[in-house]
Amino acid sequence: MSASAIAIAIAGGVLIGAGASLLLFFTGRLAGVGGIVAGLLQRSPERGWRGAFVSGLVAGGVVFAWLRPEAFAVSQTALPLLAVAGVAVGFGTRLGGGCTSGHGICGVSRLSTRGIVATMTFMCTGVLVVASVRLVGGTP
Amino acid sequence: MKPRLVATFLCGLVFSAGLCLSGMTNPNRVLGFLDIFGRWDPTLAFVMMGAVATHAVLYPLISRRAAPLFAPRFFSVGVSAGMAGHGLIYREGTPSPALEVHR
Repeated sequence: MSASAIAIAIAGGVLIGAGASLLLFFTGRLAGVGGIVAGLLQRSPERGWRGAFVSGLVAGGVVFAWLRPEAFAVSQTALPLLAVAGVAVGFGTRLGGGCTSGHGICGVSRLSTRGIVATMTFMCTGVLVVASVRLVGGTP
Repeated sequence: MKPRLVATFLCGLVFSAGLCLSGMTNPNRVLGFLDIFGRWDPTLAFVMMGAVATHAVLYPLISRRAAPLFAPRFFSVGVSAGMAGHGLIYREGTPSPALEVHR
């Protein structure tokens, strides 16, 4: 990895952390994207801010896809598999009470044991699954 | 348009800009991070470092306030080692006064 690629990755991370911090500052809520999206499916007074946050996420993605389409480059054949994987991730994050943002960023940065344990669990599981796929001759 | 919702929309926009800038909108980059026995892509580690460092600095400053700008209290899960055991079944986002941030 080049130094500039590392700097860009860190800068992106700083923006993610800033977005999560701003959400806490404005609404007192934790930026767990999985939970926020799941909450959109429930009828509750919380729908307003959740909808606003997710709209912001999507709007950012739309603008960026227009500016740099290659950032979203995924082969068309992979789409059905990605959809299945997305459902599995969604189910898992609800079962685990958090996702990469809720546990991985907010939890870990607050030194929450629960967040750290969850993050290590899903990262290790991911590594094991990818390694298993390689072991049986597949290409992850 | 309520200022609270505009502010929340902007939070999502900033968060999303970070994901896009760091390349985390491409599932292959995330998969590459998990592929440590193959073609390992360490990008996600640097993204996490940036995000965790930023939130680790700002979180104590924000939660020291009496209340958020547009809400009566903090709802987020605080620093609590005792909750680790619930990790696999506890659901985040469940409204409960017990989850208030106390610092």
